[in-house]
Amino acid sequence: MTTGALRILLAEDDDPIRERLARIIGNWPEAQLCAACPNLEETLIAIGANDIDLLITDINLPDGSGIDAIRYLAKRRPKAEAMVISVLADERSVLDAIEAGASGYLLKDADSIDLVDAIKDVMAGRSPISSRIARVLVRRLSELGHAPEHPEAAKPKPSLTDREMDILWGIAKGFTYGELADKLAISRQTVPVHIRNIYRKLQASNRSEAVFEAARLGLIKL
Amino acid sequence: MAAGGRPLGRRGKAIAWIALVTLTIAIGLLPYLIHVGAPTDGLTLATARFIQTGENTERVVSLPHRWTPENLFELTTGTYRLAFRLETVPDEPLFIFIPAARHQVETWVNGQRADPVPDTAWPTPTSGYSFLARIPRGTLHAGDNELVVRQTRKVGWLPGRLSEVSIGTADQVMPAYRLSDFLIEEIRAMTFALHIALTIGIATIWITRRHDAVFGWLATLSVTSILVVLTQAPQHALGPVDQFRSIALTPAVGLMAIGMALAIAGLPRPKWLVPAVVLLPLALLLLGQTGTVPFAIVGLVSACFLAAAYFVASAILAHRFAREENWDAAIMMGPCALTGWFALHDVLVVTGIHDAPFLHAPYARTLLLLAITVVLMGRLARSLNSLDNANETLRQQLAAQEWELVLMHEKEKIHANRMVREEERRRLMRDLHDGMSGHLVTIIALAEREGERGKDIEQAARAALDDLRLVVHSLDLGDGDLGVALAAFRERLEPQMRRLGIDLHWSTEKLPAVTGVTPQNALSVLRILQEAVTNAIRHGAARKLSIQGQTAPDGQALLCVFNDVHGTALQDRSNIGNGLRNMHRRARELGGHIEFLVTENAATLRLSFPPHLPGLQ
Repeated sequence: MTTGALRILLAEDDDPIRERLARIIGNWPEAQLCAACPNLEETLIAIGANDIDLLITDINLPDGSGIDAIRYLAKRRPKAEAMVISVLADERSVLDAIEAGASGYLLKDADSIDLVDAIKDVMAGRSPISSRIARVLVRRLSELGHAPEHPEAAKPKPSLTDREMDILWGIAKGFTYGELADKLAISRQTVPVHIRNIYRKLQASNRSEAVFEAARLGLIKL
Repeated sequence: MAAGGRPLGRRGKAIAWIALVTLTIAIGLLPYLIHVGAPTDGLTLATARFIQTGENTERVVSLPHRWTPENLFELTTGTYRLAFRLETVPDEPLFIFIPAARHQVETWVNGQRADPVPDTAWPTPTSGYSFLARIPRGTLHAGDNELVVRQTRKVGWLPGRLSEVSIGTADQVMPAYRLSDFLIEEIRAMTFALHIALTIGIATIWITRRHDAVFGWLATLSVTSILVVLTQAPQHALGPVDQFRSIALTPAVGLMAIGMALAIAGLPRPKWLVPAVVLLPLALLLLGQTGTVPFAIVGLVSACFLAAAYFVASAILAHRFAREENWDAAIMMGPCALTGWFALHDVLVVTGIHDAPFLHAPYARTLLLLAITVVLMGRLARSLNSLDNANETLRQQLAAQEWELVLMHEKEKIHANRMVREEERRRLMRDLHDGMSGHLVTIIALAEREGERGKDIEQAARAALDDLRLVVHSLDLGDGDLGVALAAFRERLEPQMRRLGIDLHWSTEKLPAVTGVTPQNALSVLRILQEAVTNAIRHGAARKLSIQGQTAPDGQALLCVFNDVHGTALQDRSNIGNGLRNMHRRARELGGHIEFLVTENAATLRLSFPPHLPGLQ
């Protein structure tokens, strides 16, 4: 994270929503909106052209997926962060984005305070996670290596620490960050840091899966 | 354990050994226990004057009497003269009965030849038989009479022998004769019939089970011993010398017995055994034929070898029974030992070392055949049992696999249904996400542009979006996922409360595990909570809101919504009434109920429902 204003790139195809988000970011003195793009093509161009700190992108863009923009950002600007904006924050699209390199998610109707808080958290190394996303993650991790016939079993299993697994299990069961922090005798602020680490490991395992798949297709010589 | 069944303990083994040995000894002693003697109520002649061909003077001898010519091969005759006195001559016919005769016997009474009972195929002159002849009517007279018994040796070596001689009526002599007839003729006939039938059976099995060494040895043993029996029959065209030649086959029978014992014991066959079966008789025949060794010696050696071979076979079987509790070996062990013993006994009798009325070797075959029959039946029974077991195992495996298949099918059906539901949910999510929810967010964005003028629209759109999220998030809830549903509700509630400046305290840690969660009843719980929160905000002007999950003393799940109340906010109760009715209805659907308590400063809603939620109505 740079010490100056946070350089943000916004990708959203719906004009009123894009304008709303742009307005909120524009009203935030600590941020600088580099561009607000309505489609993937313009977003990719903007990533190449601007030295950005954060990409906020919708997943469904008219000419492609916001996940491609996140992957491109990870390649061109490895230090930059990415967040997805979604109406429902459904676990599948959010997890896809996280595996592509996103560090958090935002609800499209989030008000300005929530939106700014969420961006601040992500830039401070803390990531959010909903109970539903945690539940999907727990289920996915338990399927890895336990059910050979399951397609998920072919994926490399991210090596989560016991503490990270405890947090994931706790959130999946519906505990609040505060309850979890009490149970695990850690600070409440530490919980989202662990979640960020979980995300990083998911991304790493996803990258190894991508490398393996590429090698299988003969694109990369291992 | 080769023969199947439970292994014997140390005590069981000792009992089995005692039983087997006792039985074997008992059978071995049977010839000495069953005595075919002269009838007690007839006239028994126990002394005679005896003269052998080539001798000049008769001598008085006691019966039974044994005689041996100087030359073992001499085909000679011994003549007994027996004097007896009759006070009166009975009207009914009288019979001469010799319980144990040997060689060819002819009788004359007062110079007239008595009519012998016609010979059958079974009594052999060499192994002993009972002689019966009718004294012709008119031959006897009151006073002194003379009976002449002429015994002609046609086959060499075996000493001549005559037991006591009885003269009596049919009633007096027939019981003893019938017993002797049964023991000598009928048993031998039955044995021969059994031998033939068993040989055919064993040969048939062997043809279809060529890999089974037991049947191979049993088949060759049976066929060879039949050949020996046939060539040894006195009615056979072979002359005495040829009978000696055929006795050279008996070492082969002995070797086959060893082969059979090894096969039953499951031990490997020595390489020399099969060639020896062929070469040993050939060598003995060659020695006899060339005159190097007299055939009598060849016969003696063959018989001794046979006895020794059966003892070896018995030892092998006994060892195997001792080591592995092989019951086939146990069953064959006794008959093999008895065969060896009977052969040895007969060698001693033939060579004149031991005296006995009959030779025992023919009965050894009976024992062996019976033992083989028992072994075969045992193997058949075990095969059938193992077939039954295999069938049962296969049936169980089939049933297990069918059950597995049914389970897999059920799993597959569940998986397919899940996939269909998942696909449907995705489609619905896509439609809601891209369609309705997107439009609602756009409406929020547009309403925000309008500032205060669009406030109501914005709130309505937000409420619609919240309700939409409620529905969407309840769509894929599984059993036990109420915690997830509540967490999703909390995650939506937290920013709202933050925006409104309401202090939210949330804890569902103490809620019991709730099962039977379906999207419908989860939605009912969430809507009750949503209604309670809405009431707290709209009608209670709450500044503090607490949602607590608890377990009631009766095990019911409890969700308590507590909020503080400020000012006159609760005055408008009409909407609260409508909301409460809805909440009551939803609680009843859950099998539970709600309580709403309002005080001047606080309001509490308690939703209680069973930890196992009812199915869909």
